[in-house]
Amino acid sequence: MSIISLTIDGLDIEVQEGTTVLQAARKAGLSIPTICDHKDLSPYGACRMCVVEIEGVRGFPTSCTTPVTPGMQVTTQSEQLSTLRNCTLELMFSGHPNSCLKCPHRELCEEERPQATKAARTTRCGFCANRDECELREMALDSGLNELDLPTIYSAHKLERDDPFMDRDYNLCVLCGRCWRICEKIHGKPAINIIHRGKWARIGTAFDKSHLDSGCVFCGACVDICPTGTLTDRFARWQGKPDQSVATTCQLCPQGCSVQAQSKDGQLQAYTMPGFDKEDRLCLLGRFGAAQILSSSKRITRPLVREGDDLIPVDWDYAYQTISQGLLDANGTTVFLISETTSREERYLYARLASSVQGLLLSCTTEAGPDDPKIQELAASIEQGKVKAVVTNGFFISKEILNKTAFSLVIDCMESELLETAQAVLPAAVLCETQGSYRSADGTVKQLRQCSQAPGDARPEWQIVCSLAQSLGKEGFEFDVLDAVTRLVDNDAPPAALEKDPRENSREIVTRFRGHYVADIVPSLAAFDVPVTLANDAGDGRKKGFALLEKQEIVPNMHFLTIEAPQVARFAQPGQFAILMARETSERSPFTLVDWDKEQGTISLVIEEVGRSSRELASLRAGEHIAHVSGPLGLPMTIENTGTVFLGGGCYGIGAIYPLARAFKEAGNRVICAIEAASSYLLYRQDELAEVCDHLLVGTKDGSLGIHGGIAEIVSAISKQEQIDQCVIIGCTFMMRMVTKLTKSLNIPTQVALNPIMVDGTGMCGACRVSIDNQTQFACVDGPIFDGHSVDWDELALRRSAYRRQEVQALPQTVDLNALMHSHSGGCGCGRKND
Amino acid sequence: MKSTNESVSEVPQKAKGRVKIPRQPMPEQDPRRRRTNFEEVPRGYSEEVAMLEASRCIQCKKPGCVQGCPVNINIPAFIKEIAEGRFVQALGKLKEYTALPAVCGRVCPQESQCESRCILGKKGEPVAIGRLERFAADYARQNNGVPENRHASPTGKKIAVVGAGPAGITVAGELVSRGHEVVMYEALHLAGGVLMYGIPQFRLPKEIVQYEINSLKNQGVTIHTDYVIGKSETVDQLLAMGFDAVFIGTGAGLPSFLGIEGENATGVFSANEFLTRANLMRAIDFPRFATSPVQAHRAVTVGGGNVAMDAARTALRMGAESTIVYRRSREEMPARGEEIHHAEEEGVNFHLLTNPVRIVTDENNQVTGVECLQMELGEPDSSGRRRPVPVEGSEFIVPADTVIIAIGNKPNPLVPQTSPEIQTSKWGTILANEETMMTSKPGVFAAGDIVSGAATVISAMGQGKIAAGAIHSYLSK
Amino acid sequence: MSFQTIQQQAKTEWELFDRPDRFRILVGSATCGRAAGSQEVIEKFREELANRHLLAETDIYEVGCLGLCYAEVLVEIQGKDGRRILYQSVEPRRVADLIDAQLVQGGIYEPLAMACTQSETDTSIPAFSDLEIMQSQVRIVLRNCGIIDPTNVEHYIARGGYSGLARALQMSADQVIEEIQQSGLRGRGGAGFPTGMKWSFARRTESDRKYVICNADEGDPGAFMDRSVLEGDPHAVLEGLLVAGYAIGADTGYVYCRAEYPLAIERLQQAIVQMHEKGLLGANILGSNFSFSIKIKKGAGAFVCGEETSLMQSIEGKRGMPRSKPPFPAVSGLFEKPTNINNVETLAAVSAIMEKGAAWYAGYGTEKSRGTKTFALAGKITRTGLIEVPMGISLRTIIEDIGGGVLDGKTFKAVQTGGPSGGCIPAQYIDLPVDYEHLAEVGSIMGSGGMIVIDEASCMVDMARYFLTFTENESCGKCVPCRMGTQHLLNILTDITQGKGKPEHLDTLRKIGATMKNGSLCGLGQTAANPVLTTLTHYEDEYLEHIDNLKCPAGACRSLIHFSIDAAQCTGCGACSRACPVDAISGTRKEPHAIDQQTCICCGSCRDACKFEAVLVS
Repeated sequence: MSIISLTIDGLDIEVQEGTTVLQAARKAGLSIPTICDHKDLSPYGACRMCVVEIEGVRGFPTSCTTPVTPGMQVTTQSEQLSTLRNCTLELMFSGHPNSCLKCPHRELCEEERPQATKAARTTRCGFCANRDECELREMALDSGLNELDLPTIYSAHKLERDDPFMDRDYNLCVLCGRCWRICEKIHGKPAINIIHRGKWARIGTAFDKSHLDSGCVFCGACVDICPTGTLTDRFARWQGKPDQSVATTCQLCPQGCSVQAQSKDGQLQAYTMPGFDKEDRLCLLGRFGAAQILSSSKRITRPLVREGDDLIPVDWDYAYQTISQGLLDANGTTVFLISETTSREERYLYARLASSVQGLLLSCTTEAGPDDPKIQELAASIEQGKVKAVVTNGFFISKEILNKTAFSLVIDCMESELLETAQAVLPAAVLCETQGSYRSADGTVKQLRQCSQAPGDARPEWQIVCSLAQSLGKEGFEFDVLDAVTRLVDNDAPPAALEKDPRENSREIVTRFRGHYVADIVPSLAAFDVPVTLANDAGDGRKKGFALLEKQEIVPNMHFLTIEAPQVARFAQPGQFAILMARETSERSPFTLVDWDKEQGTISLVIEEVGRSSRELASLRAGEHIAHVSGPLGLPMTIENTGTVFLGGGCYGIGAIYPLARAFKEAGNRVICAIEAASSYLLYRQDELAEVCDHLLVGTKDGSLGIHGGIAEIVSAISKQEQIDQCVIIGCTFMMRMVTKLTKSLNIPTQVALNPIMVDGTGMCGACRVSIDNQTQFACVDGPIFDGHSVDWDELALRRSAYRRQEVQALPQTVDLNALMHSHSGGCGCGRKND
Repeated sequence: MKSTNESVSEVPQKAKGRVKIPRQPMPEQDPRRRRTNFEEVPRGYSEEVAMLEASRCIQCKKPGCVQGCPVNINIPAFIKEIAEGRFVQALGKLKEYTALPAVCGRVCPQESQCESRCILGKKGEPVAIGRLERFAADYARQNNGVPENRHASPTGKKIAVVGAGPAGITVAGELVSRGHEVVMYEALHLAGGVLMYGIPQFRLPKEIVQYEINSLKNQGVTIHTDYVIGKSETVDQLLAMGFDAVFIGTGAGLPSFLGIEGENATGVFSANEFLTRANLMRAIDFPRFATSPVQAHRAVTVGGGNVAMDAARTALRMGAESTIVYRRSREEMPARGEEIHHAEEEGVNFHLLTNPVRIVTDENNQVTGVECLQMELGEPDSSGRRRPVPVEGSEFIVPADTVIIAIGNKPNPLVPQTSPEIQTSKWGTILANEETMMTSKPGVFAAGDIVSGAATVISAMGQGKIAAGAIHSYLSK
Repeated sequence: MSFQTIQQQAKTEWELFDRPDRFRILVGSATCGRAAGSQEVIEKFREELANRHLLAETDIYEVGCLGLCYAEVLVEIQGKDGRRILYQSVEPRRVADLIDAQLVQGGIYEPLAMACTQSETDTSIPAFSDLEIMQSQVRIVLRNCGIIDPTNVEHYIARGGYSGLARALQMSADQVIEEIQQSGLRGRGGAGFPTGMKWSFARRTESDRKYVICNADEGDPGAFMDRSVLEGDPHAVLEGLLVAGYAIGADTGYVYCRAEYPLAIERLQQAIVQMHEKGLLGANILGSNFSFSIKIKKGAGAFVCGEETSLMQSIEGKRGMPRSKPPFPAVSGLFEKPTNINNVETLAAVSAIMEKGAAWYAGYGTEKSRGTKTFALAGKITRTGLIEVPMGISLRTIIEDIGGGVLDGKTFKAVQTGGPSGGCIPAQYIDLPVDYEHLAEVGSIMGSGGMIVIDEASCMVDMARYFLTFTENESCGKCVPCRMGTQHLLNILTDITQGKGKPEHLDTLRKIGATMKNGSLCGLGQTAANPVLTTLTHYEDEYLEHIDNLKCPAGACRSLIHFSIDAAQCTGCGACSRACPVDAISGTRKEPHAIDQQTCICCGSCRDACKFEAVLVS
């Protein structure tokens, strides 16, 4: 390789032959914008942002694809280039929801909503899981692009959720191609590529099959390399940006892959690939399963000691005492069943403890479980009384056999049937909750580093074993730091290699972790036909309850439902709401009545998909049933002839103001309706609204239709033209707050429909209490409509976010296992369509 | 390490010998374990123990226990059946008086009712009537034993029961067995009222409540859940729809708050909300069930009643350090002794003679503590309890991230609001004739907490029973 | 087998074909002929000949396309008198008359007779070459189309085929390249890059393996030059491919042909088999050291696969998407090996050049644009068809002489050349010489040879919109300017044609157009805005009329026009009412009719039906 000299922006640069102009420029410290370029991918030239001028070369070549040549004269900044780049960027953003750059209320809104709303599709920054990490937005801000004149083109691709781990919203995709290129780089033949052409071009699988049938092995590289938030890890999607990233080793199988653990607030978000090369790839269990294992609700969190029928939670010291007594009393051979995927230090210590009690250590392979032949032999020994006590660090033995021992100790991270018969149970910190070293099947010794916090009182096994040995009076276990143990480990045998590489085939993943079926812990693994002990109770209770006659996603995230609920329809009045539960396991969630038909006995609602409950409703199909519908609830709006009434609606409020407009109009008012949305494609029911009001105005945050702005801008414009006698605003808390602040200054009486958290909706729980003029009121029975100028908005906003953490935790549960397992090809003949 | 606290001795055949049998203890989950789970605390009698305990009953000719029972169960009769091993028949006897034996056996304050009148209690310990009632009901349920129903020929009369709580269930059970057609309306998605949303799983497993509800359905009662009378039909409209009588048992569901500073802060809950989430909505099974649990680290429950105990113990089980703040002393606590005892056993802290005066919050309006005043007992007040008086300058802060207000409930106004003809008290309770439970509106009856204000399950059932009798006579006119 | 022997055999075979003692019927049966019903016509001939017991003494051949699309089905009949008459618009029902008139009675069936095609002219009917449509044509690429049986390699050889290859094999590769450079042949795929130079690049790159590719992925709407050549004379192309392979040192050639051309693919497959039989393919071709194999790759019909880098991706089994150049294919192409890619027409010209010499070819055309070019003449023109003309011929000659002028006597407004990547040339340039340079001067391109004549009744905005509809659909989606730019352009053009245009739209069109041109990755994107940009240059007034006055001057944009009936002219015949597909016209017989504007969909059927010009458009 020879050295090539060239000039970039007047700087003389020397680089290796084969370097691209972009690389050379970067080396010279010059920054050229690009989104499709990635250091681990070969040049692609799709985003066209890195264009430069090269003397003697026609047009504007892309620096990422152009290799340097001797004496090349490159210009990276010129007026022409910035015009071209800005227009290209504008084109790019016209195909990506862009109110994150254009919304006039962006800063205020972000202050009000520090965390993004857990919407289904991302249609604006407030709904964007990626907004703290968006390379696209960063590039736009760096480029100084401040005007986006082109209308937004929302492709309305369906939201893809038909695989176990990823949410894919191709409406955010700018087709930078990083995902399919990394897939090709790592797996040779990519499972995904650009499919279709023109405006329908998007990333997809061949013949648009489910990822489960596409040859995808769920290594997650595409998710990690996606710059726009199109591809997201469903489990971690709404958890926010990780605050810790540690290089460690995956212990889920003997492969011992190097991983980059990402965590936030001590909770593991994911194991990701340490790099983007073939050798860095992970299997789906490591990539998507590890975090779910660690945050499982089945984790053992405290030491337990049996007294009679009960396993009693105790403190560690007491546990050690009782256990050492139990082991001594058992007085005979103790067998240690230790997983092969335990760290080297811990296996060393277990072995040392076993030998110090003249016990026997049996190493259990990754796939070993209670049905293992080795365990059957052990069972015989136990029956014959040869083995008196068992210590196991996983579910390697059945509860029945364990019950036949004089003493049994389980040191594990996960609950199992062993808790029914074990004499003592100690909670272990596992995977990246601990440190140490790991010998992978190929013999390599790799580092284990901590990246997340063990739950409750769980401790690393090396500490447990040392303390236990000490309380047994054994010497040689006085280790304060793990390093001291590491130094002693020598000649440890590597675990048996797996027969097949789970990274090559998603159907070859290991099915157990410490003897537990992984699919019991990570339910969506059921999609891979791996064994489970727990029944899949995702069974759809969608056949009982209230018939869903019509369901349509009228605009992204906004679902229009018509439900057969005669007793609600018969008594509904404008301003009232109903409480819905999609399934028996759902929350009770209130939704404003948008329309009703007393004769047909039907009600209509607009549901914005922003969390688990609304997602469960949104995933129902017409013809299915909603488990519960109760209402009408709340006090109806007082409808009088006050003159000119201004009704403002945003988001779900666009639907909610409809019955009010109709009623105010019927009462003889002049009715002005105003609706707002982030972009024109998010506006809905304009025709219906126009029919029941005198004047319909629209505002969009990206300026794509009507006034650039929202209800606030419309109110201030209208109030200059005519007198508004009454104002009713329905929408998100932020919008209502902003508008009421304005109408207060304009002296317009304003009512708002509040949307606090509710449980029962009948005045029973008080969750929905709001402060109105410093008086506590219940939104469900005293509201939901209140005087907007008297609301304590700060309090409301804070109360609404009380369960944010839990709500994020609940979201992965919305995976419909039935649908998932039926999504592939539909060959099972169940008739369930994957729409 | 096997349990040894159960001992079964031979049943002496003679009455004299029987008196010597000690009252059989109830096996219970160890408090150290149960504070970590939601399994029921008492485990129930075994058949042998039940028969042994039942044999203690001397079958008084004038049983005081029956008078002590708000629903006048023929207690000696059902105990006799148990003593003789006819467990299903024992339930049959119970069912003649109560629609909810499995529930009553668990949540009734027997110590102050039937058992307080037991003759054995005069010298030693009373017969464990509640435990036996529970045993009979559990046995039949677990063994699919169905006692014979009382069959009455249809009367053609139709009654609407508004509210499917203890009072409503009692009324429905009574009336359906007398041949009337009963339609129940329940605002929530599951029938049971406080039995479902209020009383925790570890005191009253929800399967039991649903079993009882189902048996009501099997008897022919129609139950409309998700049906909010007052918001949909009014009482008048129900009468107009052809119901011959309407029973209102909508309970006391409106939570009271202290009215102190900071009470709307994030982290302050009514006991109703806290318990409804955990029980009815099954937040204890989160995330399988969608409703978010209250994730408390330091929970302070304000109040001294059963609800306060339930809330404090639930908080404990969900992993919190749980404290009860009560402004009087332990003696004044309205909660059942057993509940207080259980709470103490499980490790709930008690701050007695402590009066909360302010909720302390951080800049995000999140609770950080409860400012309290130390109290001392002064002169007795109108209720006969000694009035607590603040000790000056004794302010201190109990640190908390969660505060649960369990100081009682007011009647739910949804029905009275929409039926102006039905007279109510200044507290919002419905005024009803004590003997007939008829309201000021003919044909409309009411019972339970909507009449008496927040009270107990069994008192609601007792009133319900009176109302049912009165409705029956009203309809038979 | 020596080439002489091969030629000798071919000559014998040709004589059989050309023998005067039998009846011979040639039916134009390329895809175009088949679409017009050639197979039914042939069937009918067999039937009628059998009825007359003439079948045994008649040879029927299916030949390629003569290019006279407006006159399909074309049948040439030769009687035993040696007279060969070309008949046009032959339908099965006329077959009996044809046979009776010419084969039975020895005359001519005049109603359908078009020209005589034997070498000795027949005074009673014009000679084929004297037809207006033929007069200005020079048929090099199309030399055999419609004349030989394309399934018979002997025919091709007999007419000089493969002699060019034989000659090339006698020369060194460099000499071959020199010959092509001398001929001045430029790539006929559109860009017009000198073919010889292109070959020299590929030749220069050192590699163990090289490829040549014939780009037969003809994708422009309305273009069918390549298809006609492949169907009518496949060997001409394959011979060119062999020459190219020999010249650059490749041993494998690919023909990338779209799967929508099944007949062309069939012809190619047959031809390859025949070449093997003749020793024209495989090891040591014609006894030389040159060995070569040819593979046919079917394309799935993506327009972008006509772009060379996309095409190569597609052959490799990947999604057809362009990649950035450099590296150029000549350095790193198919399977990352040096690759030369030429289109069908170029290769067909190569075989002719090798046969007849560079000087002969260079004798046609202009100084910078040598030789001939085929065009698919379409649109509002009297004679649509496939033509081949020398470079430098004027637009006027093509449109007025060859094409017979604008259809229905309407006024010529513009001509669109170069397909969706091309531009519109307004009427004022009617005398423009057609070559690479002059077309570029007026903002258009030669492209692969589409030529669409536009009359006064065509709206230029709508025209641009039509092409954008195509490119918007065909953009591969890879690069931003093309994928998003085509969508915006189309949306704006649609808005304008629907009366929703805004004055600032014109600037936006120009801005996006410039970005696409300067920023797109491949030729598709770089040129996709051309239809918009050229119409904006020449017809800005027409755009403004739509935007400012909500009027479509051509009366073509349905949202902006309405139809009415001039009561003074209407005779109440009811023709319009019967023609209306939505029953929008009502009226009493013999009274003036009226159009219900609410119901009318502005389809124009009434105007076409009216014999009294009573239907007005405004």
